[in-house]
Amino acid sequence: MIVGLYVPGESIIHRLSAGLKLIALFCIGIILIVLDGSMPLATLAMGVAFVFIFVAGLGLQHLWMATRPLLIWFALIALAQIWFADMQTAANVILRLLALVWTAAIVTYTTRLTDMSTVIARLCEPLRPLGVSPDRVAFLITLTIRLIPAVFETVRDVREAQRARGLERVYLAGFVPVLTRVLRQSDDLSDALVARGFERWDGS
Amino acid sequence: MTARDTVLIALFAALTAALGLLPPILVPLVPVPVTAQTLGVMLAGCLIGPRRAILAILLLLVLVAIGLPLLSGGRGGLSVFVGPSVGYLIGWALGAYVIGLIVVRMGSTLVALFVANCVGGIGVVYVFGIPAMAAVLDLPLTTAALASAAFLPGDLTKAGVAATVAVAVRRAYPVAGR
Repeated sequence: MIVGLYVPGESIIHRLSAGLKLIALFCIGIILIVLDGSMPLATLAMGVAFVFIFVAGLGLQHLWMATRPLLIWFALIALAQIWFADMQTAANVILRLLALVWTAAIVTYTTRLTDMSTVIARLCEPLRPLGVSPDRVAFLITLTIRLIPAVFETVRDVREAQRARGLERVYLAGFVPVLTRVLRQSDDLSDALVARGFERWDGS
Repeated sequence: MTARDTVLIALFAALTAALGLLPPILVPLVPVPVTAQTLGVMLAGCLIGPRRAILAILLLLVLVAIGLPLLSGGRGGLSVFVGPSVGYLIGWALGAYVIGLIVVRMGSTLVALFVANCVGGIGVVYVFGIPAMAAVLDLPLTTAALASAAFLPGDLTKAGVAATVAVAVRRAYPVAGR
């Protein structure tokens, strides 16, 4: 099963509505980008985000989880310093990035998957005239979450079957049977949907 | 949207996610680990047509945004959309669309699929990825492009793999293209 990044908790931030948190993240992002280059502001935003991680009842391991993917970029910025030697800009970029990424991580860690997908479905509402139905979007989200373990299982099955025949490291050979199996599953699945009246459901 | 469209979109989103769960391969002489995830983007473009391909990748991005760790290395959540790689993610969706368009125009021979993967899966992805990375990290465009070049050998290999696989899959399962 696929486990989301949500960390259960009872903090004030957990109890805020998902929409409100997303609007707050959006505003902080806009402010940090528009007032680009303001070192005190970036430092403040980073400090606030840091404090809020603990207000939300999250720990150092969550901080690390959010920061780790950035290390490679920090290495790149450090490397670029060799040619440009602009410490001021580099420090500012790092502070701003930490502020934004931590704030975004707080929203993700404190908001349930279901609340988040409700917001997504609501955001799709204005697209209705274009033929996008919020309920279908919600259905697609659920269906995909269900299918990821199934597809991963198929990948593993095929690998095991090939290993049993002595193919250890042939990656290319694995993809064709995986895809044909996946496509065959898709036929069965769409038949099952049609049999349950999916194509007559107007999605509203 | 038919049931078949719905299922194919969900399945290719799931496939691209599952490919991200595979451990990255370290290739000698290539400075960065090669992940299988962009392979999913290219395969979607090659196999299910432009419209379904872009929707599949957008759906994957929605799942990442609502808090599932589906990008390679277990990354996910809203953080990835404020980070330096956001341009690449947008490039994936549009790249899958472009691959689909080229395949519709040029047919599905090995050469056509490889060209499509290079234009859509590498060209379009970099066109969005590099400027976004330069902007977020406040680096000159050339530096960002140079850093991206580290991924080029891996990406070219994947373009070849995806084309080869797609040709075989289309032969084994002809419905795919329509």
